[in-house]
Amino acid sequence: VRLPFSVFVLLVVAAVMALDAWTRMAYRTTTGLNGKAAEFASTAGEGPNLVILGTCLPEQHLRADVLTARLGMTVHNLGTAATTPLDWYLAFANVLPHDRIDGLVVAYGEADLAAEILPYESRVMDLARLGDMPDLLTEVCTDLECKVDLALRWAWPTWRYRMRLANGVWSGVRALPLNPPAPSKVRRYHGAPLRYVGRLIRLASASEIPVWMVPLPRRPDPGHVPPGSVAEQAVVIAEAGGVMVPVPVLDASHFGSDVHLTTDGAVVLSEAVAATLGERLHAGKPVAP
Amino acid sequence: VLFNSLVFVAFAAVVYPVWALLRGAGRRGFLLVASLFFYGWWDWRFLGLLLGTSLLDFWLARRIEDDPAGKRRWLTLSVVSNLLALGTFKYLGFFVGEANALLAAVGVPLAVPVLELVLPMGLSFYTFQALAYTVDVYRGQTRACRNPFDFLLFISFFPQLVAGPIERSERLLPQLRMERGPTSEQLADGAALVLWGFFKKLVVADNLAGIVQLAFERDDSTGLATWLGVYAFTWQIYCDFSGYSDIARGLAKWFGVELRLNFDLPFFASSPQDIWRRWHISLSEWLRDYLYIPLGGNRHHASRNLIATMLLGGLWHGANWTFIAWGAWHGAALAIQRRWAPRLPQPVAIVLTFHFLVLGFVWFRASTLGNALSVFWHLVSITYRQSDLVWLNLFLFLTLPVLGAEAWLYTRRPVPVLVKALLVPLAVLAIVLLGASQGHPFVYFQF
Repeated sequence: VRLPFSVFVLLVVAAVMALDAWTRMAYRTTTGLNGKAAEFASTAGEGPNLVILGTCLPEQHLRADVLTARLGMTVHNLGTAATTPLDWYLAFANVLPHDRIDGLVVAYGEADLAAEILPYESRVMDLARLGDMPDLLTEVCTDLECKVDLALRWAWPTWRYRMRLANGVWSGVRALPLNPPAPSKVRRYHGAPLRYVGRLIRLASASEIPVWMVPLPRRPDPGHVPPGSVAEQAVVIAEAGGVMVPVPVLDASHFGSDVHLTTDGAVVLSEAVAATLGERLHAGKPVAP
Repeated sequence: VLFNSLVFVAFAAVVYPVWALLRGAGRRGFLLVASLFFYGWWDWRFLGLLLGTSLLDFWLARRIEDDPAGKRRWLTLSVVSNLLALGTFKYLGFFVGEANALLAAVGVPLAVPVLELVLPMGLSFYTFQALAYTVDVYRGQTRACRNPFDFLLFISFFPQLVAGPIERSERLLPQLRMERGPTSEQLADGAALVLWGFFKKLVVADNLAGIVQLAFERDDSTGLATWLGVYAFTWQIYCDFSGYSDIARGLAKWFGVELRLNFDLPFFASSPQDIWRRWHISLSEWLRDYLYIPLGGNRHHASRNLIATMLLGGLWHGANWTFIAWGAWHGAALAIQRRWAPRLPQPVAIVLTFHFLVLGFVWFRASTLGNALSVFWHLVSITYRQSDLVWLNLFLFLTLPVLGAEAWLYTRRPVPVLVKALLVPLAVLAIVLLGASQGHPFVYFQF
């Protein structure tokens, strides 16, 4: 006996909807930058508040306790692993309450602004709104495959959380493919991170929020060649109205890897950044170095 | 456009509704444009080759029919032009490279430049389809097509353009000319085939790829891992290619077109000859009708004809000694079977034939003959690591559903409707969650 086509379609739709409902329930407590931003929006006091945006580098290296003690303002470190300038921009544009932010620190490693944007699962599309879609589809994607994927992620949470869901299944059967399906991690979204940094700074400036850009240090290495875009970064940041905050060159012993600091190194860096930011704050307004 | 890409989803979402709204010649014209777009999306420059060779064959077939006295000449021209296209893009680099190596070996300091040409997708399939058409017209088995657009659609019909099934004109052309839409049965069967094809490709084949690497791309594999890798490749290529064929047949049904069956439970074959009645049926029948029988078939030198046919069949897959070795493996087995076919209980015959198929695929998958010999060497080592059990787990998790389904189909018992109703959502969930969507191209696209 053949399944009628209409029943077939109904079964497919029912399966997709059931999975989607389960996904929405399972992931309603969001994690990552969207969760941190939402928490800030719901719990932050009147301030003064200083918000830090960036990847896992500022998350680990800029100690909120050290900065809070030195600056006399509450520091909220929203640095989140595997985020990109696109995430920082969308979090600031769509989730963070501008009236409770008195200063914004964007801390970045040299690769963060030079690399292509990688929209890690459950980040970008959790932060985007319908109004962002035309911009994302045209600015971030250069090919149709990317556009369809991005639209699917936005509209369909199951697709967005697919990798997490799949990992659950693979670990459930105690098997892991050697090449696990990881569409979001390997697919490059050819956007210019710098473009979104510029937008972030301009948006903050429109709300009269000063933006300090902190280029995070890396282990001293005479053979290291910085990416060619470093000079371009400085120009874009300056044109948008961001202020570079110089950081000291740290001793190699402060690094656990080429870019990751040890606990002691994080304290040293935080003290140095706090001192520099303090000078700017006490001067009343941000000043270019 | 790859079936397993999101671009294809967008393509299908536009093409099917528009096609359904059109009627008459507009339908066929739109389907032709859509098919050319489908092919040109990959690289529009190769559209010229597709159109050029197709229109030449269209014209030559008419000449064959209109000029009985000179029809042999026109057929020769068709065969030469098709083989020239195939040879230039697929084999020229290989043979020039081998000739250079041979000249160097005998001390002749002559190095002919090797052209690195990109193989146009589907070239082997559509040239064989076109060749079959002109030969059939020559033999009087079919009438020459008088409408160039119909003929172009016959060659470029997008569901089967890049990897078959290789269709015969007397079967496909009339269906493409018909102006009716799909029946409700075709819609339902097409949906089931598309779903099953995507399940086999995205869930099974693509996730097995990692295990295959254990056998073919690592020097330190244990005996167990190598066996797993070799079994996995057999399943990978089967699910990849038969998955493609199922999707193609399903998509065609939605246009009201019935494409031929390309795989008929090949893992239940009970002899080397039976394999070729079940595996890539459209190619094996093509080789039988247009190569084996013209060579003499069973009438004289049957063993020689079998080996020659299978060697060329192997070479059809790619310009590499490994494919020739794979063809020789099957050709030799077919020749031996003609003279000596032991009577074995059916289950034993099936298991032995399956392992003959599995070991043959070592030649097929290996990058070089040396690589193949190395894999065979690892197969006889009785070693394993604890981590191999994870791959065993994965292998069983991925392959048992397909094996179970095929074993049921082998019994020819109908699948209860409730089971079907349960399998549909399960397959959808598996595809959405476990499908590797990194766009692994179909294995047969390279041929």
